[in-house]
Amino acid sequence: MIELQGVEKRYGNAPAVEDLTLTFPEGALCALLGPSGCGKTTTLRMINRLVEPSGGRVLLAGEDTRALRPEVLRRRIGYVIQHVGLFPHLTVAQNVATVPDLLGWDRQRTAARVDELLDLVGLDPGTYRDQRPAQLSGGQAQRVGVARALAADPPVLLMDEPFGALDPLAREWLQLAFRDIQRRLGTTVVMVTHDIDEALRLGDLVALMRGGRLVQFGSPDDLVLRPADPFVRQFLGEDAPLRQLAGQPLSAFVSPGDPAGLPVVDASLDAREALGVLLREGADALAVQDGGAPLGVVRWHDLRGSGRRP
Amino acid sequence: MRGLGALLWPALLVLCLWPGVLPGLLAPLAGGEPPTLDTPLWRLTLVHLGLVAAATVVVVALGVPLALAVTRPGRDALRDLTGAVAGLGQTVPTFALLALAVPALGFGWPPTLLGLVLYGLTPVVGNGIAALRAVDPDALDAARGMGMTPGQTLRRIELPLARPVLLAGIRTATVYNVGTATVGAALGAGGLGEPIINGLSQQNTALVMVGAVLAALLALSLDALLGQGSRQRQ
Repeated sequence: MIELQGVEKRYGNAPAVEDLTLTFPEGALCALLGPSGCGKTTTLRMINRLVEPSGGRVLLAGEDTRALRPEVLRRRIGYVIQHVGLFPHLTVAQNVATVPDLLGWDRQRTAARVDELLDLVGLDPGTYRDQRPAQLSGGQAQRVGVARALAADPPVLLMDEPFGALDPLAREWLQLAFRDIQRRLGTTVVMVTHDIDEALRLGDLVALMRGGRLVQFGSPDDLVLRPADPFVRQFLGEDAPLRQLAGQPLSAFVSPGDPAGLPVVDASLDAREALGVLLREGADALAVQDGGAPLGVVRWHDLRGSGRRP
Repeated sequence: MRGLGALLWPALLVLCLWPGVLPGLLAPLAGGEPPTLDTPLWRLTLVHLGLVAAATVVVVALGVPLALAVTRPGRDALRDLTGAVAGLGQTVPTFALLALAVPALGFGWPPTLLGLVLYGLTPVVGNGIAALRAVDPDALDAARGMGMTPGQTLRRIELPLARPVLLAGIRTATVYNVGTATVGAALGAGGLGEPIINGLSQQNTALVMVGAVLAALLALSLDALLGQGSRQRQ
């Protein structure tokens, strides 16, 4: 869906991104991960030409992005940034309507779309439509930011540390809500993050960058279990398997078995919490229940590897 | 209530322009004899207002585009230079400026307008630059990233956000210039400086006060009316 072919960016003689070739597949959520200064934000901004590449090509659905005027290109690509950047003098509805307005949609269609999107991100349109950005909490503002980016139903969404400025509770809630929305809409997402947990938890694919170069591009399993070089392992940390388990519901690991005599846990736990219970109880397996009804058994070795992603 | 308060100064101004009112009030300063003028007070006030209004129009026409031009990305050095030069305008003494302008432009309105424009540019350009710089860079990044052209960003985001501070600068320039414009009478530009200058040369305090009181009331009236206008538009 988005193809980078030998893309590079130089500032004077200093390379910010070098010889970057990778493909973000359609409908996938891809995380661009790496330490600060690794070129991940520059890479993101080259996709919608907020930064013009010094070399190479960027293809969007097979079309060279240089074939379009930058403004036209950007109206087809959703854009979400860390500090949201809502327009403070406009209402929530006017903010969400930005791209539809630029595209010249008629009033009724835009208004209906705004309400639909506010619903989608969990904000009651009747309550929030006419509020000003200053009246919103950080989490609400970023939800409006996501709604604004999705307003014209772009096939591609670029996000630069979208959850970075939120408190942990709001962040986790919004991450999961966003993941759900993304799956439902089938939007191709490229998300810059320096948060390893976020990359491993949300990403279908993770591109790890260092010093302007791609180090490894693969599924979270690939990076955690099959690191391409020592840097990948060191950057993700020795507890990377635990970080990865934290993002997955226990139900994905359940298999049939005899629950007799095993410690009982609820299916609402995530896989890391279940591992904690195993360690605490000194057990080799857990009986999993869903609201009291037996679901099956999770064994110690089931938690190794990927589980079945939901 | 607020709207009513804004009408207080204009009402006082109109009252003082009523034939005989102000000279009558000031008569005790001239030994009981009301000061007399060749030109009616309302006419002097209108000429004065005309001078100030013409200067404000020129100041806005020059200052706002200038502030816009130098706050575009990549023009930081030019922006700082412009801010400094605009600030210099007000440090030159009025009389020196007018004395220098007369040989080039002659007497009357042209040198006076030149002075008023140079003085008025300081708050308009200064506020304009400050207001445009204060626009949230994240909002600008979002605007660009969502596909607004530079012109659309300016019209939809930058100007609306900069407007209150920009209008305050225009208001300040206008009010200052009511005072500065009295000097124009020395160059034959007319206005409320005339009774002041005549009063000074005739040692007639009441005559000086006629000009001073009316200029002050005109300044306060414009301040109140312009303040009202910018509040309503927000």
